[in-house]
Amino acid sequence: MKTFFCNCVYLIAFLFVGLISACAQVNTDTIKNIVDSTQLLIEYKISESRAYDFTAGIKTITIPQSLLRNNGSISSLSDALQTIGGIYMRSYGNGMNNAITLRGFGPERTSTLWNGIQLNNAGLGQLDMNLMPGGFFNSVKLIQGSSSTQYGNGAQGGSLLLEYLPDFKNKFNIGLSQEFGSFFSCNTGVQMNYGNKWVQVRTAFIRNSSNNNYAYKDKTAIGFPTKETVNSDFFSYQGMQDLFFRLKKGWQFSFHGWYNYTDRKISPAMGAANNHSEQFDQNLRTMVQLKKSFEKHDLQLQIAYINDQLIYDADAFKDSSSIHSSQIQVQYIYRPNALLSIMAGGNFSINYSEYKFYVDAVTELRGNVFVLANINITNFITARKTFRREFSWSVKFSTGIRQQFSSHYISYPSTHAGFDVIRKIARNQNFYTSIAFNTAYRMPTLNDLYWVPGGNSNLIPEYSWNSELSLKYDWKNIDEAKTMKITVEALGYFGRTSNWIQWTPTSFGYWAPQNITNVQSAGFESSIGLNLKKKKWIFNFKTTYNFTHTTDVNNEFKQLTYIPEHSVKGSIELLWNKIYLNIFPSFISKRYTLSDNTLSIPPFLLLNMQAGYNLQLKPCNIGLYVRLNNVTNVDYQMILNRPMPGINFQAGINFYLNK
Amino acid sequence: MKNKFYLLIIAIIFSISITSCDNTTNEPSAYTNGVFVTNEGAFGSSNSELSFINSDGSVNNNIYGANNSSAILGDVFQSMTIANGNAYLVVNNSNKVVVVDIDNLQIKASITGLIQPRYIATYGGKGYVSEWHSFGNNGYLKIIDLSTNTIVDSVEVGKQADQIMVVDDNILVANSGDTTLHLVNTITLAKTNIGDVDFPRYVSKTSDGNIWILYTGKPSWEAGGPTDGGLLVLNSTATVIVKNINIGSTSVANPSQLATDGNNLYYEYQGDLHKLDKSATVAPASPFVIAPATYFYGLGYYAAGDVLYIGDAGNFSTSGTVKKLNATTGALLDTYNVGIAPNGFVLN
Repeated sequence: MKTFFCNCVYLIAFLFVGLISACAQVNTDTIKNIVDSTQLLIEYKISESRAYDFTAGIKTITIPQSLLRNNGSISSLSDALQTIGGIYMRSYGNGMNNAITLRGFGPERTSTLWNGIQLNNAGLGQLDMNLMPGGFFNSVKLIQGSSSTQYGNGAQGGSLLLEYLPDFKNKFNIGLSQEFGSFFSCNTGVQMNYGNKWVQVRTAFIRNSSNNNYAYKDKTAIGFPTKETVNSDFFSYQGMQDLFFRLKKGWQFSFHGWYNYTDRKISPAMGAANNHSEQFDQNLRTMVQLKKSFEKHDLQLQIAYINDQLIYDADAFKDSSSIHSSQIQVQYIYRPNALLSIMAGGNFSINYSEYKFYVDAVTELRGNVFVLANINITNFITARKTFRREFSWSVKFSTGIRQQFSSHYISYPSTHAGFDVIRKIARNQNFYTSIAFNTAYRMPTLNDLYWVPGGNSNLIPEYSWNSELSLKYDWKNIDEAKTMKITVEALGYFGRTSNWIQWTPTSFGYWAPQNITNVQSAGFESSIGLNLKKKKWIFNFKTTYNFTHTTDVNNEFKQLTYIPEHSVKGSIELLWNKIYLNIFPSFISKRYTLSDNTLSIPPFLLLNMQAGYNLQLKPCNIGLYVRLNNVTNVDYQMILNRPMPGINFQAGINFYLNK
Repeated sequence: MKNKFYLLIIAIIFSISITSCDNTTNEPSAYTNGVFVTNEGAFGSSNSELSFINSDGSVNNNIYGANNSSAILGDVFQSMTIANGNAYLVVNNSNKVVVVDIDNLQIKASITGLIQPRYIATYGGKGYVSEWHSFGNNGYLKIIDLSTNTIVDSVEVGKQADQIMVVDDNILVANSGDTTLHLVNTITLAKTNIGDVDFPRYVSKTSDGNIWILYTGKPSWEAGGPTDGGLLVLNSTATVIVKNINIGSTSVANPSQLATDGNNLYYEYQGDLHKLDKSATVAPASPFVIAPATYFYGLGYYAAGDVLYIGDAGNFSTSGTVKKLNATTGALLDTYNVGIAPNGFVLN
């Protein structure tokens, strides 16, 4: 408590002095003195590009490569996200629609960006995480908190940043992955990277299919007999192409293309009739990017075109929608010195759709402009070094404002102010404090505005404010024989969203969206991590506990539906020589299925495991693995009466050639 | 030993106090002298259920599951009909009719092979089930042999066949997706179209024998909509149109629901409850009860106590409520918490 109080005092002092120092020119000697401490900040938040640098105070997670690419290019992003504390994946069944939930905010309030361009479907406002191939990216970051100022519309729960970053040192490498598993699942992936220090080409392709006919207990019949899912098979292929050109004088040009075709049969809810529903998702995403790096400036221009097609075909109903979205984004970063960086830019998009439920063709213009600033102060009180204990300080302050507008609205601006304070207590101990306050917004989607019947052109944007405070401590013991690191983290957040848009039935026989309520989100997140390395043994352990209390203010503060209040997740990784074992236990508490909180789905404890062997035969690497899901064969559901599979397995081989 | 005895006594007292404090129980009981409530549930969630409001005001919820080893009834519980000592539970999006014993609600059979069934009527040892079938195409009237609970015949009727009524040797079928009203002869299975009104859906019979059909009119999102809804009145044999009373429509509202006490008709329009004397020739200008429910979703009249029951679906993501109203004054008499989306009432 005393430490926390001291941190707060120093924090205020640093803010005051930091602002003054940022306004003044800083002499070169001071900058040289602070290099060591700056390294700490870089470690804490790996800053690669763009707005990610301007998120001080907000919890950010870099999804580890071991999770992201554990099965080569066929690795599933939703599987990786599911192991992260605080994320709840709402799945309609194996291979079915899988929606991310962050801090009690659903997929329409979580922004997903690909190389900085927002992917959320303009009609629905959300994305299906089952259609996001984790193995296509080598950088996935999660901003676990309100971040509209950095990432624009709808980032009230957080943002997910997907990127493939080139390595200009690479000459040629190829990866082949093949996996087979339960329910006749067959997943194949190929990924190639080739080029030189001027040009890099990356080509990736995956194909997934499964009969997906898993057993479940039929609770519509007495005695709950075991049955098999029907109409649930799927087939998907996706390809991604990236071209990077490094030009003279700091210019870089890149092209990115991503195509997805997925054909999924939609299994009915337990007890519901099989109406032979089938859903076809086709997504074409293309982008060109031009970057110029000066000594103190960076300029980036992006032009993107996205086409999202969704075809639904069932016995009694057929539907087809297509939304075209064109975006242009400009970002400019100015770094006059090591202390200060400023980013400004804008994003403009046109969404166009001809859809029978919109009646007329719809064109919507959207745009936003923003300014973000960072101040980094390190080793400010150098006199402290005279004390016997070795310690130093690093402070990062971020602030910013973003103004969104569209054909219909000008929203309230979103703002951000946050600190990351790192105190190096000793050579092997750091204490981190982060504080943030920000506001966020979400514009109504095309469906909210134009759907017939019900579309409501009188909707106004949602508006949120959020505050969070986190404390983190790490300790590491390093000697030649043994390395040990312990990390403890605790975080609390509180915020409110007003004008929450919700579809509700009208007295006229159809549903319509309204700015009907206000939502309060409060929660607590904690984690303990332990990393051990001794000779050929590596042991990594992490456990997280999350308390999520996201409630409807206008409904007696009842918990929102399908948001678990408690979740505990664990990750145990054991490596010995070339053999590894990963264990992922998770506990999800009950989730209410009704807004009056009278009915709920039972809690469940799930256990997934993966074991593998990596063989190195230079220049080749061969990896063999087997994964067991739901090891204890728990009968559980994510969505009411949508059964999830019992114990099942996948086994695969990865082959890499590096030159 | 003494301590264990005291613990047992405390446990018994505690159990009794819990059950006596809560008038909503899941214990099986004899379901007589009260009203069954069909709770439709949310589409695609298979969370429909059956409730029973006892004459003393107590409510038994989830009684299908309670009497059938916690089994789920299915998806979209549309309607219930009592006949021959059985209750026939029509579960629309499960494509089935579940046959249960009316005394203990235990399942006896399940009639399958149906497609989007809506209502069932019984006559001459047979069951007649209206089927929506598929949107945009004609519905069907399926004929069931009630001794074997199997489909024995089928008659194609109009689009979205909905409420039905036995009229002499015929079944009257209101086709809620077009302009037809079919009269299907139960012996020859010949059908006759006897109406030309937009989207007929609800049927009821007054004490003079006349048959009342509430047609909703086309909603605004249908081609050519909105068109006015109203009440079409047929004679007791459904062969002559007695009168047609226009109710109206707006760009967002069409009339719905229908119940009668024999002399008056009750229906919903623009969220309000309206009352109409059977001799009237024009619809009442003002409502009988203004906005009795958040979402007016079911309506039933019962002579015992001269009361109306209104199903309030709320926002469909919360437990529904049933409002009990005095049918003469419109005064609210009681409110009961039931399942999700209560859409109908059956007196037992």
